[in-house]
Amino acid sequence: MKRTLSLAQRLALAFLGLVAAVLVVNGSISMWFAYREATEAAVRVEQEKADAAAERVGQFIAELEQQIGWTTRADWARVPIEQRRYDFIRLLRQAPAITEALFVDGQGREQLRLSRLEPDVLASGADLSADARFRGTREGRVWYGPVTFRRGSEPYMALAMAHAGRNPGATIAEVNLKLIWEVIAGIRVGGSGYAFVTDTAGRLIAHPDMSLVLRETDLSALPQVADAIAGRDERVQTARTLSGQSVLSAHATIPRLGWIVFVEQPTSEALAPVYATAYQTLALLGLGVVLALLAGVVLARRLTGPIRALQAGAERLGQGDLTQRIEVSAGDEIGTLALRFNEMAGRIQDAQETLEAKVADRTRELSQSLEELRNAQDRLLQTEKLASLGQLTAGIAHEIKNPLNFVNNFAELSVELLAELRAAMEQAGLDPALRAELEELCAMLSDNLAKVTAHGKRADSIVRNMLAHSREGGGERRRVDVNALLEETLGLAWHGARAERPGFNVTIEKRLDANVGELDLFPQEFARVLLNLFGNAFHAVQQKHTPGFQPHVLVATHATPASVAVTIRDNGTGIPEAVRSHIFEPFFTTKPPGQGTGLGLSLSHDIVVQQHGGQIAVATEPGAWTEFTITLPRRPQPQDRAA
Amino acid sequence: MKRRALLATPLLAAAPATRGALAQPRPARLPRLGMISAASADDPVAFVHLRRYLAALGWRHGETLHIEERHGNGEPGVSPRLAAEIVATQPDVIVVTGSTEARAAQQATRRIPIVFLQVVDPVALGLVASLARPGGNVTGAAASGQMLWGKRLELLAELLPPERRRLAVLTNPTNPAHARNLTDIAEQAPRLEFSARVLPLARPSDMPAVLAEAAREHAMLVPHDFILFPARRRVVAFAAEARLPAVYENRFSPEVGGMASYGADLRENYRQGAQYVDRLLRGARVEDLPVVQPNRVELVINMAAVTALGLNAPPMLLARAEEVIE
Repeated sequence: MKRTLSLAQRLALAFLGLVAAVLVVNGSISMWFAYREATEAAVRVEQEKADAAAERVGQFIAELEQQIGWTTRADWARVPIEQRRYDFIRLLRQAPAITEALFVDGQGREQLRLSRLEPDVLASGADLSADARFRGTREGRVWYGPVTFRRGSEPYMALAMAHAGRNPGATIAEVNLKLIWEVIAGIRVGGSGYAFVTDTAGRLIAHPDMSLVLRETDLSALPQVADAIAGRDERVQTARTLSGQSVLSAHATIPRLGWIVFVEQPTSEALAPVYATAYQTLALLGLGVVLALLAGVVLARRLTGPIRALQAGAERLGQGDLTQRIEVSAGDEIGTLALRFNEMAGRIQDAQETLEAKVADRTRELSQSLEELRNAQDRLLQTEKLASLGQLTAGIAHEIKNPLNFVNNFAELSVELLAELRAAMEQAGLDPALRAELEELCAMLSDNLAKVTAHGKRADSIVRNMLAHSREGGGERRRVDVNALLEETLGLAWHGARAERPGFNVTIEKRLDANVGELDLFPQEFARVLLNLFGNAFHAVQQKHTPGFQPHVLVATHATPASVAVTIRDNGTGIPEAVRSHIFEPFFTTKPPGQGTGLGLSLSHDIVVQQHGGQIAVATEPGAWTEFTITLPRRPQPQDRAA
Repeated sequence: MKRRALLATPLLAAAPATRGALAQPRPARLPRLGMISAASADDPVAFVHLRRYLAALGWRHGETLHIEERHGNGEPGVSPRLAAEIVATQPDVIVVTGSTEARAAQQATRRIPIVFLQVVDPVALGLVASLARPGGNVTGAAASGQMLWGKRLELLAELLPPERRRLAVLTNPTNPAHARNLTDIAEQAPRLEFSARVLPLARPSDMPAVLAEAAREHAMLVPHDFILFPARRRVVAFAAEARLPAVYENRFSPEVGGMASYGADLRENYRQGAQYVDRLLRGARVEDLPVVQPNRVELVINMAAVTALGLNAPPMLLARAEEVIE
């Protein structure tokens, strides 16, 4: 799993990296230039030192030549031998490097030899005409012999100079080159640099460490010496000494002699300014990195502080704390972000509150709908129950109707037969007592038959009512003015009630909505419903006997675009709770036996619901009021009455 | 790569310097230097100079260096004993002031570096294989690469009239240089028509008798020797008293009244020796240190002595002299 860095760390790292990169690039470039510059300066200095050293070594030889020059004058050949010897003595006194001085005449005969080691030899006449030293002067005025190491240790060189004049002799000097040490040791190159001289073969002639010279050290294996002998152009290079130390080496060739003067300085010293610059750059780099680190941390803290606040706020918001607001005072993007965040939180809070209200509303509506649905279901159950009861009733009535017809018909026939019996008895002229007894029996039979007929008619009426349950839309269906029908049936009911009870009085209030207009109805059937309801209302107010009671019946219609509602309200006895659920059942009645069949409301329910597709509802307050409301749809529901 | 090598060099360069600096204050065990001289302890010219030059190089007895000295006081045959004693002290370097001591030290140890002083022609003496490559544990500063008795005889020849050609040659037969000196003198003397009488001086006590003998000759040659050198004042005084022109090997005798000398300035010799001791103490190897020779030989004339002897120094001679002591 890769460890993820925090934003602050990444910011700090990015800042650090950027600054470090800039510093490194800058430092490298400046270091490179400083290195180049210092190297070039060091090289220049080395080169100048080498030239100067070569100049001084050359000067050493030139001085020797100058001193020997005293003995090469044209007139020197003519001076007495003692004078010549004296001149040689002076030469040896003045030039400590000359160990031996010889004068050879034009024929190559040795005339004079002075040495620091041997007794002087005058006019030995030794033949040196074949000697390289003498022969050298025949070709050029000055001849430099090769460097030799006496007894394998001290470097010597023969320096021969031809004299001036005709048939000139020559002065030959054996020069102890060890004395160049004083020149070489005097050359300072920086703090610990030094110079040394080699001959053309790379053998060491002079070196501050004399012991190297005395050991006849051959330096031709050193690359810088080999390069110098080969005459390469590169006169300054980094090289190593015999002991392996790294040095910046420059060389210069001494003209005529061909010797090479090397000037070497430890690279560490020669390039000290470079190191100084490098250390300075490194120190600046380090300082810069530290500053960048500090600045990066501070900046990252300052940057990420608000972001952390934002994050914390978001977390609390995520945990549901909608009242959370972020305190960010910064006016930058993060401040704006925090502002937007706060706005968002506010909106979410608002939205949630609205949502809760809506949910509450919907829940309420849903529970209401559920309630309505339950009611509808109850009603549907009731309707189904009532419908099946109605069918049962109709079936029973149908079965009863034929026997009842027989009873009624034969009762009527029996009445006629009784009248025929009376007439027959008149003609038979029977004993008056018997006749009276028969007359009495006939009267009783007649009474009985009248009762059979009367009750038969009543039973027939009941059966007919019962049969009404099974009737399909009795009568015709047509457009009917509901308000007019209402007025008409109300008048009929009122007169019916007055006829039944002459002292009956009731206040009738009518609130008929003119917008009700016409509806598609079965007028006879609907009138039955209305009559039934009015009858019940009048009956209810008659049953109430509380003091100061004013019977009151309200008839109202109310039109809506989809339906028409008819309300009949009385302030009568109301319907007790135990009764209310049964009122639409057939044969249920609260009236005394004989006064109601218990089929009125049952039939009304059947007519409104089954035939007209409406609804009939009751509301009541026992002992206070009862209100029936019929609601009829403006467009009649399709008749789907089951067979 | 090159730059990294350059960067690395300051450390490398600094390393030897620190080692040198650390080497000096080492109280636990100071570097030890053994010094052997067959000469008298009364006038230790070589050691006095050596100590001075060593001090200039940072080696001071008791502070940075422990010096053990042995003196033979001119007695013959004691050098091997002195050398054995010095080797027993386990010195880091041994300094000897002449051929006698050098031979004795060389016999005593083949391991401890030996630096000789004041030796003439160490190759001929068998101390080293060659000047450039000593080849053993012995190296040092030669007083001269070769014998210079010819020049000294020439000097006498210039000063003395031609009839005065009899020479007394003082010599210490116990000194290994003795034979070489005599050979050179015997070879050079006839060329300048000198006859030489060799006067052996084997022990300091023989001095009066030998000097008495020398007084009978025209002139005297006095080599640099572990008996003669410490007694140089006495020899010079005798020569003056006996009006005997004498030539010495180096300037120490004319400085105290001797007539003349021809040879290297031994102070340079001591300085070179001190430098070699220094380098050896700092870890150099003998094989890296070739025998070093003097840069110059000098003619020193004590004009007062010459005049006192009733001699005339010709201009030619004076012109040649590096120093003329009035």
